[in-house]
Amino acid sequence: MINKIYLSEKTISRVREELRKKTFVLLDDFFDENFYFLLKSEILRKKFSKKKIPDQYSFSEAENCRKFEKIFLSPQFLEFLEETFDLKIKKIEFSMRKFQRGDYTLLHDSEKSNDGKEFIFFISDFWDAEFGGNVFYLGKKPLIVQPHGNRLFVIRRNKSRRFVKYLNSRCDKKSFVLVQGRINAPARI
Amino acid sequence: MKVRKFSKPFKHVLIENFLSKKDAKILLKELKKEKFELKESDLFNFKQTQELHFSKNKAILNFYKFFSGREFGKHIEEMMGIKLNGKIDMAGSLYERTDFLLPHDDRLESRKAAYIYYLIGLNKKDGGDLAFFSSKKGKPWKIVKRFFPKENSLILFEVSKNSWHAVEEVLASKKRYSFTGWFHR
Repeated sequence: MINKIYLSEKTISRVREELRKKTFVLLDDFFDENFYFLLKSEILRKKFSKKKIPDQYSFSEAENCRKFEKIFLSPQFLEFLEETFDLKIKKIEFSMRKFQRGDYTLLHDSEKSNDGKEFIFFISDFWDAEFGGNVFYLGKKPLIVQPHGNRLFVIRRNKSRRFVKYLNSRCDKKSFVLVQGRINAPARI
Repeated sequence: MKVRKFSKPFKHVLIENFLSKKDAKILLKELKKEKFELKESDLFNFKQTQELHFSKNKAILNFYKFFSGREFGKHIEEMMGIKLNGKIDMAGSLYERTDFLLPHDDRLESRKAAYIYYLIGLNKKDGGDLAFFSSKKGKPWKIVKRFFPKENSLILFEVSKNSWHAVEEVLASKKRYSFTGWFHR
């Protein structure tokens, strides 16, 4: 399931070190090619329904994403996260949202800045920087993550606020699915 | 000059042929000389000038003086049935292809009425419409009115907890120039 290059002890310790130093790591080609291809074709068959509160967000949510939850809660994926973050995971709060032309999320006055650990994963068509849809983490050092198929991004957030920039007409009929997991962990191993 | 007043979804006034054609053309030519900077956030993407009160351009400054003057302020008060304190903000705005401004209500400090004076006309399919939302419990609900930018027309609306509006994405490769800002109370 996970690309072999990310499973060697040497790579995992390098990823853990980078995450410790930089607070984030970006891993492309995260799942092996065949697995990602199957995942993407399953997602394409899913039914998404529109969720919109104009002054807060616009995106679509999958009606039932249990099957996909299983992938991101599988022992292999959990073990990878535990070793990367160097902690024992208690629970993952999981969401799967589809973004297409005209979608966005806004920073909201009532939303508190967030601490904690999380990952985001993109299932995406070819994505150009001009399409919009970048994920912004605004904190001490602003971070911008560009959507890209089979990309995993893990971060230790430090009072940052996150939004997905408006997806403009240049993306036409293209879309991406953003899988997000917020990690609850009781204590370091 | 043609003035039309509306009360829904919130109080607004549309004035077509606001200035003479010649003056509107001069203002466009002069506004293009100002420096525009990219403004970018979760809510918007467009280009804007400095506060035009500080402009060194004579034509722009004259327009600012007229717009912030007591006489014009009185007209606005009468047209909209509001009280103003004579203070205004004014900047030049430029929306190009893919630029947008998502729903917001404009409420901040002493803002009483917002305005947009369009110097460029766009067609329906070009995007860049000013969209007004109906509201439920002070929150935006649905778009109920759209204005596509019409050259030399001025739109004013009262700022309130219901004044939810947006600028829809510009779809054409055109430059949507306008003067925008607020009257204060």
